[in-house]
Amino acid sequence: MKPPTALGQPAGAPPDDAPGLAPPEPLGVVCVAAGAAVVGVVAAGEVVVGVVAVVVDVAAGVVAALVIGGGDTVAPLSRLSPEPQAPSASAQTRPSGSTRTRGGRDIGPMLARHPPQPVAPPNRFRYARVPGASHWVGPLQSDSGSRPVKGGADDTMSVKYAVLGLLAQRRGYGYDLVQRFEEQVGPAWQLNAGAIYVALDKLEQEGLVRPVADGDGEAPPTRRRTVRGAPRVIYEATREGLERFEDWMATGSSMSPLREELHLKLALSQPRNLPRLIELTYEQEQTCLERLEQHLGGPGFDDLLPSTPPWSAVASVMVRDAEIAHLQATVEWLRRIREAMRWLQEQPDALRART
Amino acid sequence: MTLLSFDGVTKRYARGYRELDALAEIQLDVEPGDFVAIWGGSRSGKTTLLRVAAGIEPPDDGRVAFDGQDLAALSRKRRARLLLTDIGCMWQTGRITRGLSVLDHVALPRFKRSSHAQARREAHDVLERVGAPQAANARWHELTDGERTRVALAHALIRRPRLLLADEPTASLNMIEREQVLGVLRSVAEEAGVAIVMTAPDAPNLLQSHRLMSLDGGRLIKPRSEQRGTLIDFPKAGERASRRG
Repeated sequence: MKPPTALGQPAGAPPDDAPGLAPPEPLGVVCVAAGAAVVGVVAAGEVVVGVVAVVVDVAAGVVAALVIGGGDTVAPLSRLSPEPQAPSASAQTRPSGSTRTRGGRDIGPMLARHPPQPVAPPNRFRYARVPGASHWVGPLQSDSGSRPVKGGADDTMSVKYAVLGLLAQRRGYGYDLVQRFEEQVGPAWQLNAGAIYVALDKLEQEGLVRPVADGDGEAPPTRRRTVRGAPRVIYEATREGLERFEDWMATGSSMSPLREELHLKLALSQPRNLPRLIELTYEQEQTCLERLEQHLGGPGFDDLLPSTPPWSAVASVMVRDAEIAHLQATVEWLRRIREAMRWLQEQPDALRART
Repeated sequence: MTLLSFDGVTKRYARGYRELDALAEIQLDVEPGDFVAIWGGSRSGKTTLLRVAAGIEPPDDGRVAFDGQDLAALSRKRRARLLLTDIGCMWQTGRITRGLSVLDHVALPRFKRSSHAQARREAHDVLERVGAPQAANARWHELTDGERTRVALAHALIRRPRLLLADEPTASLNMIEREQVLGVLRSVAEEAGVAIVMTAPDAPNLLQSHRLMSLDGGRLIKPRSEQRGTLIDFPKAGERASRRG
């Protein structure tokens, strides 16, 4: 068993394994950035999903929608997507019923208030509002996300394929997959352990992975993997799963939109906010430095390449380097806008002209 | 025991009719064995920070203490002695001393203390340590950038400094040379307990260090884990205006 590694471990104990091995960090660690409050809330939702899925044998997507919707929080409606048994069902034809209610509250009318546009908007996104939620909810995809949508990475889908890929490497059980994901992808993803279990459920229902006998091969495949004390279920990828994974590797990758709270504050600011905005750039830079600190002493290309390392090590460093590159670009941007705002601050005339 | 401490250090340069804050209220404590990396772009003040730390430039405000002694209170001679024995510097514009071979240039700081033969032997050792033994007999113009950096590092290390100030030691190095130079710095900090303050222009070069902070417009920005007591000193609009007089 690998001990918990770096900072940024996912919160939430994996339900099917020794709880002592679970990363002990509180949820707060997950949301480091000032703008990450929303992420944190969703994360909380997903952890709850992981737990609820243990108890209630309901497809996890539904549970996610219910839990999140009931919690008066941001809910990506893509989670309301149809069950895997009917993967082609669209939002319009989705049956209303348990999937749309929470505590007897039917959210179907809410969807009806936003009927599908006769002419599809270019990005095929619509936004809807969950009753009681104070935020706009995430992109509502008419399709369950089986194809990458431009401008909107579907994390759930990515994790699903990542689980498939991990199982293609070698068979494994839930917590093992969580750890391998952490190890190979790194802390920047801020994976919720629950998402792995959700993905396993979906994959199993789609026939892309299947449980195999445990250890000696005597024990029959156990479906109840999440009850503490029950034998853990080891999964392997089916042939179809391997093919699906190869397809995914070959398709283009979507890119997450850049959504930072600071961008909104800048966009909606007034000239009188300048002093505070400049302070905010300092605070944001501090946050970037904190994230960079997590990479201190980590392996870099410099250490690796002279020694002809295994590909997995190179791949892991490349993925970690992505966060470093992003943080560097962010800090350089912060310095640029700070310089610009300082200049404006010292030129009242210039500022008036732009007001 | 803090080896190097900056307490509210401010340095201004006159630029025509206005003053430029090269350093503004710097707070920094460096312990023996610390490897501090300072990330700053051009004109961020990082070279000034190192020059003030070396006692080459006096601060306009605040106090720089090396091993508890206020650098500004020392005589010029004592400061020069510190630079010869306790503080090693690698400057970006480093050159070898005119008329000397690379070996003699590296050995120079030891000539006064030991015999020339002994100093040259030490120079050989330290060149080997930094991975440039072949540079000893080369001419300066024959050296690659990587070798020049290593010669500068050897020149700084031969005096067995307690504090090493390195200004962009990884500039103009390729990936493998960079790893070697940073590896030497790291091991010098960890094994010999030398305190290192290094500047770097981008993030990947910072990550071999123990602590990292950012310098922009003369202001040192530290991660919150570094914050002891005061928050970074935000420029106050009125204050800056009055300073320019």
